[in-house]
Amino acid sequence: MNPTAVIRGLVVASALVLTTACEHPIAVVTPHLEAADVILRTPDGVEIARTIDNRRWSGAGPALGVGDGVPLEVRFLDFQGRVLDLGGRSDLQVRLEFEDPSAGVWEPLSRGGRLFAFAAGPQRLRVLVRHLDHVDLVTPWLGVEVAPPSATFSHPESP
Amino acid sequence: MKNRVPRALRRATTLLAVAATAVLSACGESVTEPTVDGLVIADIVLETADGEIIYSHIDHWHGFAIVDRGSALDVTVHFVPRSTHPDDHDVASRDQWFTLRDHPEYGLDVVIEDPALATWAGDRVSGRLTGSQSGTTRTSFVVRRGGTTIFEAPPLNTVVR
Repeated sequence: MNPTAVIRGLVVASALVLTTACEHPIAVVTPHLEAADVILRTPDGVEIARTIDNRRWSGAGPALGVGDGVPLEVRFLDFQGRVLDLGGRSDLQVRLEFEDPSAGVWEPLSRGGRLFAFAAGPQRLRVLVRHLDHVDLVTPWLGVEVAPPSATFSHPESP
Repeated sequence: MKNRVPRALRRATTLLAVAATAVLSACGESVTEPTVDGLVIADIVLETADGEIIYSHIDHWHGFAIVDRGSALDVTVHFVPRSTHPDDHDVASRDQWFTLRDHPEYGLDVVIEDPALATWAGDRVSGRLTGSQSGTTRTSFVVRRGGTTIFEAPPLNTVVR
């Protein structure tokens, strides 16, 4: 094969790669959350519920009353049961969501968040983790019983 | 033949260097963000008449709307041009807030999912949320210019007690 032709081919191929790379910049890739299980706990470390193989929940879940903001932290475990450190992962958004979106809301904070319920009675909620434009983890639904409103039901204080 | 390959290699290297320089220079200028002529809105801040602040932050809200049945909540609608960092959940500083008062070409649509529970009446700057029936619903805030949606906040949980 003619070496000059080979080199010309390489030049064309390289130029093509460079041009393509320019039109489609290489995205910064961050790893998925490789979590096997989830723990819900209070800020002082009391575990209130955890998933078992992310197929079912163990524990009663948070005690919710209408309008009360319940502070919670969410921890993630790998398949060996070790706690995963998500420190500094602003590409991961941890959310709790109610099956009925108007039944309550999760307010994320720098550490954990607050869970507000608005409708008394049986409700279901779950944890999910958004990674950029997709979801990395979704737990099963966790059934909770929401108590009627207290007399002090009002606007939450700002975080 | 022995001399042609190194010479061709030199030429190829030069060509590649020129091509790479040209392409990378062009790339450096063109992180292709669409340019939008007009307002840039990232988040919304609701300020009630008694000074309560409820604000959106990217995909969620801090706070929620509460109104008593048969009562009304007067709200001024502010916007901010840039969201704070995803892990920074404080409200944007007030000097970044703006309303649509000076932007008559923009309109604010406020839609309550269950209008039997509450109603909204207002203009592009402020409005009144009136509770009709106890319950919970969600409220959407959408900014439009003509037929184009400029901004849509995540649905705001709204409680009528």
